[in-house]
Parts: sequence; structure tokens; C-alpha cells
Amino acid sequence: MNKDIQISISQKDEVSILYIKGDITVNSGETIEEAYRKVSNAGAKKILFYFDKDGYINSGGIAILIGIASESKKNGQTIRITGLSSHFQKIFNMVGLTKYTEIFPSEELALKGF
Amino acid sequence: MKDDSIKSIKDPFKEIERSQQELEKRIFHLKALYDLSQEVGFLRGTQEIIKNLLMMTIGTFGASCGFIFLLEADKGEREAFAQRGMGKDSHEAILKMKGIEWFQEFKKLTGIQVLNEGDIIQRQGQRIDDMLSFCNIRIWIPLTINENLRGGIGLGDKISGDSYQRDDQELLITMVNQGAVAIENSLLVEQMKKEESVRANLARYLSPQIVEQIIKKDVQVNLGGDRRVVTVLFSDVRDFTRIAETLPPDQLVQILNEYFTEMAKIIFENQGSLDKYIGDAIVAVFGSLIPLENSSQNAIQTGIQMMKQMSVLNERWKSQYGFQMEMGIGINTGEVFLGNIGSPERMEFTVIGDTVNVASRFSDIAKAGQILITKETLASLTPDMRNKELPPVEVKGKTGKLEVFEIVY
Repeated sequence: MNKDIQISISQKDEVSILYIKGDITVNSGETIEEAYRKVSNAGAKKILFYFDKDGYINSGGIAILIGIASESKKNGQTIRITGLSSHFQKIFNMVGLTKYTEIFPSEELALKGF
Repeated sequence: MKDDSIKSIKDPFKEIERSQQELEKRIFHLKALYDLSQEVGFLRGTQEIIKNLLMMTIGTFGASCGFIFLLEADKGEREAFAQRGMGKDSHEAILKMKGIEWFQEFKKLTGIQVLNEGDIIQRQGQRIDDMLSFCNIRIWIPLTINENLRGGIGLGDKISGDSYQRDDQELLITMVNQGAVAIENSLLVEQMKKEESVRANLARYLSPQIVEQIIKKDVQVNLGGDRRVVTVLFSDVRDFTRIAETLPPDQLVQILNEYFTEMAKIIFENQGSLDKYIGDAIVAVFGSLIPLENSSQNAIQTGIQMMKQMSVLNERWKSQYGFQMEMGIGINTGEVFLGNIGSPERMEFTVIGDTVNVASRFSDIAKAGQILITKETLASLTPDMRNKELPPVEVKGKTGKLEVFEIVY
């Protein structure tokens, strides 16, 4: 598994966007948690996760995202997701992540009405 | 009639969609198993494996929370623990739980008897299930290592709102078993590393055969601090300073190495342990690491064989280098303190005490080729071991003179 992951953060109006490139596993997932906490501590209430279409997300990575989704609920934040391949959209739906987040086909659509 | 025909068209589509979803799920589960083998198969350290195993299972089932624990094989205390999504207070409460409590809880939830019935577990009036209720643990699977129940994993509600099905349970068992294999392997590697470290440490003092016996637990050794009656043998090369001055350094090193190798071999053959080299002197101990029936007998036997081997070496050195070496040996029996002594950077299993000092003193006064023993060593000699009494000697730190006996060989 590739442990390297690259995350860049940008702000568009009220939305904090996390651009995530690389495979998401237990180890690399910790970097996502750090990035989430960073925007969270800065007061972000609307967060968009932009995943890499070619990136792989294993079960450990999904567990990381469940943790973030659960934390965001407690923090009163709204999380949206984009950039996922259709395969992972189905997986997110299967494991129930779509109950906490909304998945959009593009960044533009995700930002619309956020 | 019209409605019915529409329904019959819709149903096959729904069926296909359901089948497709089921297929996607199966593929995801298969991939999860593959990923798990990749993630934990190469990890070392139970804590890392436990943590990854928990995360992979939570992600696979979309569980809201979960925890996993592994208890030590013998003591029943917690060896490794990981949790996810349990909140700080509950996490801390769980960390305070003792091994027996885990199994009591486990038994209550699963009906599996794992340890003797212990006390009814209460913690300041709060039952453990109350502590765990925050997470609604819905599924429990035992963690079995080397056919022993050593722990368990529990997962909370699925965030999808679905309940756990039979195939979920089967998949979780498979995942936990896969994790258990990784833990087994990791424990095996840890045990091998430990054995290798013990082997390397003991090899400095003992013969390879005895080291193997100790590793296999055929021979019990006491590496902790202890007081014990042992026999100490001191050998010293006579006139070594003059020899060292006359020989070229490389030749001196070669001769000393030959000498130490041959003598150590004899010590090991007689089940002695090589305590240390002090310059040209050798300190060997009998009856310390390995219990002996008659440590004096073994030490004297060693002394005689060392003297005989010295003659063999001298023959060789005489023809090769044109010189020979002589040594004197002192042997004493008595109580010593033995144990690993030193700083953490440099530990040495050694013996300390008056018994050692007297053996050293006897080796000092022994003439070339003499084996001198104390009254205490003489006391346990067999009648076939010939000896003669010499005039008593004064030994620093001892009041009065000590009796001295020379072994006739």
C-alpha cells in the first residue's frame, strides 16, 4: 500500500476544500484526520472532500472517514464529497457513509448551494 | 391487468439491481480480505496489528465504533488494545479494566466460558455493560491465538442502519482469524528475537550445546540476582609480562587466542561457565548457571585437563615460535552473589564475593603447573582425586592462615 498522500487545502467562500491525492488507508488516513482537524479548528462549518479518482480507498481508510463523518456531526459541520469513482460511490453508499455526507459528481455541483 | 404487466416488468429490474448490489458487496468484502492480508500480514508488533485489524473491520462493515483486545498468554493482563469511536471517558474506563473483566464481559455477551468463574465484576457500582452501552456493541468475535482464546473484537451499530447478518458474522470471523495469524507470526518473530538475544548473551559464558538446552528449557537457569554455593577456578599465566614484552604483538594475539579457545572449550565440556578473561587470566565458575551435583569435582577435572592441554599447546608453540607458557590454577568453593551486573549499556552475568577473591589469591601463589585448592573445595572431592597438603598461606582480607592443598595429577 502506498503510504504517501498529498493534501492541499483551499477556501472558496464559506467552504473549506480538502484536495486529497493518493491511496487512503489506516496510515495515510491519519494525515486526512490532521487536515480535517486543521480546518475544523479554524472554524470550518462546510467542508468538501475532493478525492482522487484514481486513488484507492481500503476498509481502514473507510473507517477513518466514518470517524471524520461522526466527528463532523458532533461539531455541527456539513461534509460533502466529490471526485469519487462510481465504484467507491457505491461502497460509500453500502457502508452508510452517505447518511452522514452527500456525494457529488463534480466540485462545481458540490459547491452549488453548499 | 395493465398494472400487473407493469409490475412484472419492474420486478426483474429490481431483482437485477439487487443482485448487482449483492455482487458489489461480495467484491468489496473479498477485496477487504485481500487488503487486510496486505495491511497486517507484514506488520510486526501486536498493537499495530490489533489497531489495523479493528480499523479494517470497522470500514468493511461501516460500524459506528468498535474495540479489540488481546490478553497476555499467562497473566491474563491486557497486552494490546485498540478502540475507535468510543469517547474519552469510556476509553479510559476500558483501559482500567483488568483481564478477567474482559472475559467476564465476553462470557456475558457470548455465553462462551473462557476463564474460571471469578468475582462478580462491579466497578464502583457501574457494570461494564453500562460502560460499553455508549457504543451498542452488536457483534462479538473471539480472538484465538495458537488455539487459545486470548481476546475479542466487538463492533457497534452499522451507520447504514442495517443489522449484522449471518454472512457478516462469517466475514468478521475470517478477518479476525486472518489477524490472529498475523499476531501469531508477530509473536513468533518476537520470541525468536528474544531467544536470539538470550542465545547471544549466554554464548559468551556457556557452550553452544548448553545454550541450546537453556533455550529449549531443558536446563533451567537463573539469570536474576541470587546467592549460591559455587566453585570458582582462576588460572593465570606465569611471567606473562615478560612474554608479552618479548613477542611481536600479532604473534602474542594469536597465541592468546589459541590459549583462550582451547581452555574455554575444556571449561564448557565440564559444564562450567566462562565468567571472564582478565588480561591473561581466566575466571570460570561451576554450579552457577547450571546446577551441578559436585561443582568442586567438575572444577578440578577442568583444571587438570587445562594443565594437560597447556602441555600440548606448548609443544606446538615451541616448534612454531620457540617459546612456551606455564600457568597456575587456584580453585575455591563457597557462597557467591551471582547475577547480571553492570550498567544498562554493558551488562555482565558474573559472580562476586570472598570466594572469588580467595580463588584468585590461590592462583597467584600457585607455581607453574600447580593446581591449588582450598579446604572447602577439598571437602567434596572423591577419594580417587589425589592431593597433598601444603603449608598454610595468608590471604589479604582473611584473618589467620588458610589451608592449601595441591592436586596431584
